[in-house]
Amino acid sequence: MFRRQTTRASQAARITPRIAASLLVAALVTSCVGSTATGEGGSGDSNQSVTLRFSMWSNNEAHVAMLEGFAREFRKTHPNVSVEFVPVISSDYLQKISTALAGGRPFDAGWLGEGDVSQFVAAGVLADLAPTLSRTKGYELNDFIGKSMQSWRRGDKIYGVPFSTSPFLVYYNKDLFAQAGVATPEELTARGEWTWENFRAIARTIREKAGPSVYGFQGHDGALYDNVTSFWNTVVPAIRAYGGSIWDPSTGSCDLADQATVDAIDLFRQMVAVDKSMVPPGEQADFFAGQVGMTINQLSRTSLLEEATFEWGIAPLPSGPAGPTSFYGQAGVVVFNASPHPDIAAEFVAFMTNRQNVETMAEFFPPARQSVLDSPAFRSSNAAVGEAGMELVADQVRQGESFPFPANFADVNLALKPELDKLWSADADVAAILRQGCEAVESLLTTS
Amino acid sequence: MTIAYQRAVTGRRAGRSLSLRRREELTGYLFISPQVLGFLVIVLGPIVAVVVYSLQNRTLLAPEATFAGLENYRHMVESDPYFRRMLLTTAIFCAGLVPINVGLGLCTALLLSSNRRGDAVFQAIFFLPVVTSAVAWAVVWRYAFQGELGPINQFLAVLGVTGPNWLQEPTWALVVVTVTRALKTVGLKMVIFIAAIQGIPKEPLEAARLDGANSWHVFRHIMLPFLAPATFLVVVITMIGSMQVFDHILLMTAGGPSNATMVLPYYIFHQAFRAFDTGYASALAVVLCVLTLGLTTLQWAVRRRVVPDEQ
Repeated sequence: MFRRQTTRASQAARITPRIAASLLVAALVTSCVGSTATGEGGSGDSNQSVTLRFSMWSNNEAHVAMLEGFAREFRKTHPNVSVEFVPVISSDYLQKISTALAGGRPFDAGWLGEGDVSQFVAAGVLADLAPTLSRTKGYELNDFIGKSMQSWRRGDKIYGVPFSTSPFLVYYNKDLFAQAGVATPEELTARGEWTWENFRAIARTIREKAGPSVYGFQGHDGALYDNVTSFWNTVVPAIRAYGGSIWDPSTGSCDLADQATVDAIDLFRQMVAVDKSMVPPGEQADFFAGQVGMTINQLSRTSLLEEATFEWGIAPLPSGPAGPTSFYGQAGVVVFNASPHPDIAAEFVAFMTNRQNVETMAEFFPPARQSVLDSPAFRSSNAAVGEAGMELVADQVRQGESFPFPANFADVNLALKPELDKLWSADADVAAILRQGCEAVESLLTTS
Repeated sequence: MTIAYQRAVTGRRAGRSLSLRRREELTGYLFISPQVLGFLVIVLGPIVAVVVYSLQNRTLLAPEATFAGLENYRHMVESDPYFRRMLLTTAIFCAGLVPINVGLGLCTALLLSSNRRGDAVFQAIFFLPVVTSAVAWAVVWRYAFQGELGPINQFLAVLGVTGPNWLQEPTWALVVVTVTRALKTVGLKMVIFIAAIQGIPKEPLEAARLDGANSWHVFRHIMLPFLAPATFLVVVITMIGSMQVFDHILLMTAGGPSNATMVLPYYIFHQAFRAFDTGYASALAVVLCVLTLGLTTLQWAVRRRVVPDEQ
């Protein structure tokens, strides 16, 4: 019988595979266990501790603090519920919430832009909040201005509650206006002369007087030529002022080739190609850098002017042949169907959009509740804009209306964009281009 | 050595345990298993998943999906109005990018492979775009190619030439996007070619010069054949890379104007993350992968004729 002779090498050869194997198994086990998902705790029983995950696209400390305040208040009536707010960079927001949905670990509730509601409703991923809202005491759904719920209702169902109803306004550079010697929008409004024609004349004068690196007007976010949403945000104010319309997704009819709409869009074409007063495609001159006389944007952009090197003001949208107009863009709060606690999430949404909390939010986000718009607190809530400015904002919210978003906005945009790109030359036939645009999208227009 | 003797030496009883050879094999497998596991989970798994998704009606907004067979592929070929145009645009983009990129890489390599004083400095300069962020690269070029205030048109104006609105005219936009992307990785190809050039044996070059060959003949008949393997490699990886360009297009033109620069990777992104149709996007991705694979295989087949036998 030979004695066991184990050399060091064979010892190592015996042990090492075992060590490696056990390390591997340990790694596999820990990776499979992974992180436990929060918000999993059964089906929303009031006895179990629940954490709602709420997505938002702002990491502004004041916004987060305000929302966390709501969560603390909510806990007083729902002691087992805590809310975790997850800020996501706005450019990644849709991707984040959609991949969370696809991955089976959705957020419970969150912010959603009104442009995306149709797609999400069509996919069946948003929960109907109507039952919860109607049984929440003191909620007063009728306090929301009728048209402000347009993007969020489908018949009797309510898929979201708008927390920000932000009108599009004209921002103007007071220094450039003074330099060009043109009347300000306030003066023109007082005289009843704040029209699109005068708007165009002012833009032309500013451009002529201030030189080749300054323009009279810049489209929404400077992205009018790149981004179809910015295109609409810029031209819809004029379309409405001219009495035109765009399309009706519920009937599938496209009105782009109507004369009023053609005239309104042709106004911008002339500003770009003939007057050369509007920032043309490819140029990066920016209002917020002081290089442009006027632009159209929402109230939230005042944050870009905190360190402005020039005097600025806001004005209502110019009026046209069909009178004055208002146009706003909304963001709302929604609940995802796939959430493990849709009922509790809906209750939290009802809580954070009740009258008192909407009044708190009005410091940052224009409200859609009539009672809050009418309150003195709202008028004095933005020092940079001033009371007169906030009264203007309130007025615009009361009278305004959203864009008619179709269910498959992405596909519609893809089909429409190549046609819109042809609009900006001196000899473009706007009516023909818009007719082709209608042909391209008519079969795609649906509502969810 | 007999198996019996082996067993005697290691003291293990017959039939009970692994032989030394087997143990060594197992050790080897265990050591490479983390890498293989990573490959399976992170590379192969998603590829298989994409193929499976391409056969489904799947949306990014829900984890469930229904089987759809070849529906996505049928839609692509029969009823997608953009697909053919996008294939053509992608083909033009690649056909433009590869010669520019490889050609410039070779030229700069030829100029900088002699180890003269200052060569290293220029090599570093040409390599800088490679390490520059692709985002920064695209954003700065986009600024430069502005219609009126852009530096390029301002420079042309000094020469008396009115430059077009580069990124707003369909043809020019595609040209600009192709050339600016081609310039970015020239440095990397240059480095590969320099290594290959410096590996060419001196004797044939000297012999050719002694025989009276001029520079062009030396290059064409002596250097190029030696460079053929490196050239082949560079062309293949450049082609594969050019069919995956997405960030550059997104940042410079977003597929416009009038979809003139809409290449297949960008369309895949649009379908997946804007239209939320991940089933269709997966089908497009499979088609892109098959095309790339096909072109690569074609080049491998051609290699026999083009690349001389290596020693």
